[in-house]
Amino acid sequence: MIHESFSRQAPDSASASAVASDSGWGPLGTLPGNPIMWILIVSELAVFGAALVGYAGARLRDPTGFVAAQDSLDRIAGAVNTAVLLTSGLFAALAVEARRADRRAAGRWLLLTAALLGCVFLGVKGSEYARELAAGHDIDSHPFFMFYYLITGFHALHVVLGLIILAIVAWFDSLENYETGAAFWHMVDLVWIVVFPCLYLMR
Amino acid sequence: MDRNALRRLTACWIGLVALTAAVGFLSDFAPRLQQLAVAGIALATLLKTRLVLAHYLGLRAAPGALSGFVSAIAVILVLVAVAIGVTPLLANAFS
Repeated sequence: MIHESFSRQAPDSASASAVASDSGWGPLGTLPGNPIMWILIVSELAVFGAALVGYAGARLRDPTGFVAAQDSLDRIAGAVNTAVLLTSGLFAALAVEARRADRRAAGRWLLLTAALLGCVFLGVKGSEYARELAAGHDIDSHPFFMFYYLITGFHALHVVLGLIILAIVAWFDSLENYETGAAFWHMVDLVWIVVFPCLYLMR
Repeated sequence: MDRNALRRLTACWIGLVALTAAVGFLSDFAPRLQQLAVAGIALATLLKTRLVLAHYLGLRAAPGALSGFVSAIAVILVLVAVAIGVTPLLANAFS
């Protein structure tokens, strides 16, 4: 399966998932891309979900302290990063459509644009971290910042992993690989969509 | 590239950016209308996740999986929103 997944000669069709649906994956076979990626996506969403529920539970012990800590975050930077990731997700989705139409060069350019926007996200996130650390808000300064650095840091690691996956997909450019790589990238997008309001906005 | 797909994905992106702006706007009301703002933010966030799952991830072709993912995310958002928005209200009521 892994060999097929990264083969440059993998068979293409209108939906690469149709191939997977015949290979005993059950309902996962009907989803776009490699079913193993969907298992990973479900696991990742469960991990981030558990972290956010833990955050909500910890917040109950000190709601005033959490609000004060939240107010030090740069909500504009968070919103900008949300827009950047959403736009990156659009380019990743368009890349899959381009590959589906057998426009390989366009697909690669669209993937590259999605990856560049991922780098912009990391740059903005890095500047946010630098500002918080300069203000004396490190991982030990308050439980809020422990959750903030752990959740957003783990998410940033996924962005880095996503960039690597997009680079691999641009090279091994079968339709299934496009769908699989884009699915991971959209998962990264989806997690941020939930993390941003929970950490920055709900207070 | 399929023009319909291009149009659909672009419309989805516009919807997502508009909802992001709406969420930011709602957060400005958080200090005054906390419960309402938190509920609005949670609802707008759920709509955004549904848009990403259905259109970016292509789950509109798999309605069962779409419902499953949206339900799981809704549970997380409800737990966080209740912890943030409703619990202080209950604490005030019983103090």
